Amino acid sequence: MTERLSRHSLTVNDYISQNESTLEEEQEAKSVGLTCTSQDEALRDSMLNRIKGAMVHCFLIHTLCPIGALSAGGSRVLFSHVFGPEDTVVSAPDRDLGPEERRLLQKEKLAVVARQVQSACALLREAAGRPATEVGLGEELVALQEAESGVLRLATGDPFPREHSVLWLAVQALSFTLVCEPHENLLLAEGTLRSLARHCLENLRMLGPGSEVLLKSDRIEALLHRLLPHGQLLFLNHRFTQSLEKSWLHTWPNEHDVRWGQTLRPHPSDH
Amino acid sequence: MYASGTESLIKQAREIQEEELQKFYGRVCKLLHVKDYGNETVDSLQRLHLIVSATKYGRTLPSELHKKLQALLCSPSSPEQLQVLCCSTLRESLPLSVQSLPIDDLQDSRTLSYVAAVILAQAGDSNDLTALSHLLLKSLEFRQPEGQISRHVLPVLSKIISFSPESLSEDHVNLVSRKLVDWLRYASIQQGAFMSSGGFFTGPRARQPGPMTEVDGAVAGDFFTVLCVGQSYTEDQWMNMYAFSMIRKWLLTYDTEGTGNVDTAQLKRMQVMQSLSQDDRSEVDGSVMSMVSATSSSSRLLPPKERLREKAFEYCHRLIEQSDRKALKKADSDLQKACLVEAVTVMDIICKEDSSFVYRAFPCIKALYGRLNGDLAFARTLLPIAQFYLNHSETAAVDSEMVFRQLFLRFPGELFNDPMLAFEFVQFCRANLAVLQESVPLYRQSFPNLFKFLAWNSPALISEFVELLSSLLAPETAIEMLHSLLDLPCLAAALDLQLRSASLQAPERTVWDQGSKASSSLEAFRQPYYRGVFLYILRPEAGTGDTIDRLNLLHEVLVDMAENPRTVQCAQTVPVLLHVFFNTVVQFADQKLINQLVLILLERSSLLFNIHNYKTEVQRVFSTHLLVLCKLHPSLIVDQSRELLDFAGTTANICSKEDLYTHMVWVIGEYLSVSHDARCTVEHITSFFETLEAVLFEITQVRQSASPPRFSPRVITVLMTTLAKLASRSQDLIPRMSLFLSKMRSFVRSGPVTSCYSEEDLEEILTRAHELINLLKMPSVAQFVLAPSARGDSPRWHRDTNASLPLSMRTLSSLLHKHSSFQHC
Repeated sequence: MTERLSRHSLTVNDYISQNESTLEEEQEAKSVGLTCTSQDEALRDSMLNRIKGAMVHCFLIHTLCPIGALSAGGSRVLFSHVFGPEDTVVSAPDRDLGPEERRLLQKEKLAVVARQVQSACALLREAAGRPATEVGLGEELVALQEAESGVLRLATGDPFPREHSVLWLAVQALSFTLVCEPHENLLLAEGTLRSLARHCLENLRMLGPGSEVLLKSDRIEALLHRLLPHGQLLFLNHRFTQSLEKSWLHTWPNEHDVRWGQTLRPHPSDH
Repeated sequence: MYASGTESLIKQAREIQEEELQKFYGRVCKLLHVKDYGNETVDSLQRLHLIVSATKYGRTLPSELHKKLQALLCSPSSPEQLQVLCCSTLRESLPLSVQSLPIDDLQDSRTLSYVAAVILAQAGDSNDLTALSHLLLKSLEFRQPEGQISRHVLPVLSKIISFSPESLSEDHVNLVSRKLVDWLRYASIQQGAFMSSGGFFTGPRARQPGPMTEVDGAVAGDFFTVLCVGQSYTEDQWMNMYAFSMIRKWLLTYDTEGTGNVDTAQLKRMQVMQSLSQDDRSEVDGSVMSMVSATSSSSRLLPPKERLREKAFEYCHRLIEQSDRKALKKADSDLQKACLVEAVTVMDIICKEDSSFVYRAFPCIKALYGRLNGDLAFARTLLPIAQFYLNHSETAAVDSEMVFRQLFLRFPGELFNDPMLAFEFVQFCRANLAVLQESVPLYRQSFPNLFKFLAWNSPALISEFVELLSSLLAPETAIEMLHSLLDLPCLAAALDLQLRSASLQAPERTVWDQGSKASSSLEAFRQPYYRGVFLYILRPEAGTGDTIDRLNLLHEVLVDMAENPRTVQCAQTVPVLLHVFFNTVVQFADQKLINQLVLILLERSSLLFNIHNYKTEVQRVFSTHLLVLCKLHPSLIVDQSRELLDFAGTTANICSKEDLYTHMVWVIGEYLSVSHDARCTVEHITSFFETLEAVLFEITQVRQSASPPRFSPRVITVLMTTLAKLASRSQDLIPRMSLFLSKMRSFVRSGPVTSCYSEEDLEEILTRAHELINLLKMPSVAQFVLAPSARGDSPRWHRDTNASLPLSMRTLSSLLHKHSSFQHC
């Protein structure tokens, strides 16, 4: 516990020292008159303003618990779906990269997001001071009710060329994370994220000890394809949702149907 | 829930041997070749996907396997599961598929969507998307025979335009705009045929569909929207939902032409309106007229973009009406809130493009505000409403005071513990910094309330407040804000108590003993005796006073909260904010304010909530900025000489705030000079000299029994140097100073000192004393060396190796040494 605490306070301190240094640098820059908006910057800003809009950039499932093979504060990304290209238009450095390097860069960026969510969640849990409750298979709805959620802002260039908001939902040792464009309708995104998380937890038995999340990721893909097609958040009323869920469960011949009987259980609000 | 099995699976997938991998590729290839789509193939493809996706380094598939996967993906007859697996495997692996996928002859909508997913994921530049966008636009252009437009055509388009908006020509934009109008405004209002397999015009034998209902079960009163509920939906109703989901992005991307020439656009509209009297109908379908439809203006001859604006506006208007209904399902009532946010935002975008909509929108927005403002459950939907008021209330001459009063004075105090609202609220402030600062006085005034968000969610919001702080800062409230920042951890603690206290039952009717000690902070929170202090800390608005006199009492009573994680987290963010505060305040501070700030530094340096490390960190920030403030306004030393003498003369300050004390002494030596302030007299110099001399005497007094010094040798050297500086400016003091310095030898040799300081430290003290003695032997040189002229005090002075003080000192010492040795000879 003490170790955990000290690690968390370290993150805040790190943050602070980072900020201090930036402030000093800014001061420095100001004092020697270095802060000027170059033409490039102005051009980039106008580009950024033009292509604003609301979509989801990616969806992640990653761990929040310490993992032996990773350094402290590391998070294992178990599932990721990036919905489209990044704005390579505005980040010229990426354009010259080969496909392999681009992929590597993208994976590293996702890892950065996962780590940031992990720290944010750890700090939030620490501040709330609530003891974690462990629930098992079949208690997905309880787990979801107890889940913490939050949102953080990724500043321009850190790690994506444009600013993004990251919405996360922490269920025990796992986080379901949506990286959204800054103007996204967060109320809608929250609803979608909850619904995705519920289906993943139930259908892939993620509260249990298995590894379905890795091996049956096609289920998550198909779910995203319906509830968040190509990163587009949808305004789904309960009938639209039911229809999409039905087509998902129908198309997925579920060999574990007997074992997984609970997955077909309707949402409590439908009663 | 995260098992070691999962971890070992990832390891296996990453570390698979090349030979084994090739064999596995071969096996998958064979399975696909014989078109065996059974469990074994599914299982193998799932493993293949894991192998290519588990590592951050790309894996290159053999070309045969690559081709087979592409073929399987593009074949409409493949089962969806296999398409999904191919899609995700191709996305994650090399070589890229983006140019080799045969997309021209894709007919099936599901296949098109999965193929598009691969292309979108791998596109490197906009050229990679051209073929795909052409295909999508073509499918929109020709009316599909069975209404077989891919449902995902809009989401894919949405993604493409966020990547390269220029990939759509003007004609394309008009085409999509026309389609969007049809889907948004003229989707059928009847339910889709039950159990239909997705057909829009299903067979005549299908059960007669009923009308759509609203979320509360009433029959739908007007055109179809996402808030209409039915057993099943027709294709155009599905498209209605997709269209509304993307409308905001579309308008933001393409509805920008109006900004430059609003007048011409309006003129055109007027002309069209006048020439029209007929009913406005879709090209596809009629629609039921009612509330919104009844007021719908004829717009058929408008250019497509403007017509879309008109129809989107009507859609939003109807959504706002519909959200007044009591939803039967929780999911739908959540959707209502999300729809409100979207509808108001879309209206805002439209009004920005064409201000004539403002007059139509305001009655609706005002009514909505009236309906929601009492209900905290709708707090988040009030933010876009506030944005609307901020952008348009001036145009429509509508009073917005009430909205901002509600926003800034009510929300933070009651909803500080909702992290989502806190985030959105702060983003709202960030997005509108300039306007809020300039035209909403309440914004700055409510900073004590806004700080509640920060105190409660400090790690999450610190970077946002680093940006916001300077906009909240005004000369009138600077002092109060400094106190508030220093008390931020107390605010976090008080908010925690407020929440806990509210969850307890009403306090029993105990007659509180006036002034009796409360046994816990929670009890104190409920005691009338402490009420005033807590009320002050939790105040919503600035202006009731800079601070209160009983802060000590507050710190005492909160002592059991000093280790509360939230309080600690909050305390860790304060130094950063203090830096921002001082950096901003010096930009506008006048002499009077700087004097006040320095006094607060001195006063508050010890009057802080006792959290581990908090005092030290804050004092460090104070030290840094004390230097800046004094440099900016050196005459404050004379202005505040009494307080500074008090501070510098208190030996106890060395132990409790060494850093600040050292800086203060340095500042006195540097700026107490007639060259910085003409009012500086010999009396001033003498009184500072005597005070500091007494302190140095006290701390260097050699007593064998004394405990070893608890301060760093730096304090001694700085005190010595400052005294020498002062002596050089009032030369009567030189003999006294030289005598004092010569006694340092016995100090460094005394037992307690040698046991505590290192050899180098002692050497340093001695050398410094020696140098100063030598310098003071030549008063005119000393004056030059110890008081660089104000003009020579350029920013680079201290960095210039040739001009730096140590170098001058060294040169002079060596000269003097030579001189003295010469004498001895």
